[in-house]
Amino acid sequence: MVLKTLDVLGPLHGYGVARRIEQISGDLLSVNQGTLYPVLLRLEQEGAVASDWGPSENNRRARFYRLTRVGRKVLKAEKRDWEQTAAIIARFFDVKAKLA
Amino acid sequence: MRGLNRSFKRLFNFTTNRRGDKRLREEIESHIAAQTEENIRAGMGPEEARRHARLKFGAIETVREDYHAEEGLPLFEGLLLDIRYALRVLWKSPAFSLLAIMTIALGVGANTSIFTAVNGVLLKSFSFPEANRLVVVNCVSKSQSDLWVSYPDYLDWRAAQRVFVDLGARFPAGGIIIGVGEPQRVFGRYVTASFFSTLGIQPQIGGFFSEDEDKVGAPRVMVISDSLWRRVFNADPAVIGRAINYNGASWTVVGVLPVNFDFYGRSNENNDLFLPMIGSFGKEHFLYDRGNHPCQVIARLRPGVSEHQAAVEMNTIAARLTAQYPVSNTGVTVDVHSLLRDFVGEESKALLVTSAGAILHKRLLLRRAVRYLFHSWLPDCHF
Repeated sequence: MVLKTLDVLGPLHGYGVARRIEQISGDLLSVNQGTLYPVLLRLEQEGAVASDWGPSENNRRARFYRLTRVGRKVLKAEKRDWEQTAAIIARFFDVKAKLA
Repeated sequence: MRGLNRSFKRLFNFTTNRRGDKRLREEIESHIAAQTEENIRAGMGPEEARRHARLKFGAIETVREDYHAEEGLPLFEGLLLDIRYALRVLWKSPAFSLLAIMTIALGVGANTSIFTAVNGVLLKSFSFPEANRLVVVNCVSKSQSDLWVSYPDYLDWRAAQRVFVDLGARFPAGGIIIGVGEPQRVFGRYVTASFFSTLGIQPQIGGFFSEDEDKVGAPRVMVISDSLWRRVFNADPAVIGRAINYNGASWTVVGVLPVNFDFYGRSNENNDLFLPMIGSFGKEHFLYDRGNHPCQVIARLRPGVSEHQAAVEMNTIAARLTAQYPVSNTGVTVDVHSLLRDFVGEESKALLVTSAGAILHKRLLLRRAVRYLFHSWLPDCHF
């Protein structure tokens, strides 16, 4: 979700990512926003995102995260994995519906 | 590759003690400020807006801990802290340190001595050359897992098999030696001449009896154990060739077993003396009855032959004997397993279990002792 958000919206600070995830999920996913930061750090260590200080909309210093080339690859792979998983699960539900 | 890259970064952070604490704090501040402003725009008062923003962010301490866990190598960091603390405490109170070290030393010493005892009794004493090739060969029926072996079967096995270097048979003996000091109650075994060569041992002094010396009508000879030699004959080498009155007949001592000879445990009483089996019972009917199973059989595997291969061959022979002698041999199969396993299994399992238990118990006691020490010294220390 973090990667996709950065892919669509471009460089974004942590708060922006958190808001975006909430918006897209229609506030269905409102976990503690703080848990986002360890995830961002992890992604950064894996090289999927890079970060730099920059001015936020209200001229406060904020850390901006952007997707790297590795990150784009990771995103693609994750997307494929997810689609596959979803497709398999969907097939199971399908079978059940036909039986019923 | 991603994982590797990440591990390097974490290791780097750990070794350089690099911390992103400032960065995280700043990020959190800016995050909460942004959320607060948005809350104000949504119509909250400044105080409430900030409170809501904090609530939404979650427990900052937890986030920081998670963040650090991702950052470095938390396990090693904890360990380093512990070691640093331990050294400081030990340095501060040398008397306590000395006591703790002595307690541990005592415990370790006790463990070592128990191990030495087990090692001596169990492992070292089982000192036949290439003992891993020694096996027990036994008859098994559906109702009895330990049938022992009839002498005619033993002879047929020995003649037909190609998996063993040799086999040896035995059965228990016991009686009284008179004429050498006080009368002595002794126990031993009647054995075939191949018993000694199968085990691969050499006498300490004198010799063992050969197959030619183990037949009906041959002069009565005996081989005695090191312990009997010392106990009754004061370790006198002149015992060789001496005639001994055993069970009312005269037997000539021909050899003394090696010091470390240990067949089914050194405390096993049946190791006092070894007498020729055929010389003693060659005229008895029971020895030639296939329905009678008086013998226990050991064998030495040929190099490269496994217990399983030996069992397969022996059962082929057993099947042939069953066809030949259906009355006595129907339902009888052959089991082959290592002598050491048999020995440990039957005689010394208790010893093993006891000693392992003792070591475990010692360790627990030791830990508890050191823990008490710590608690009495450092009441605020919990572990």
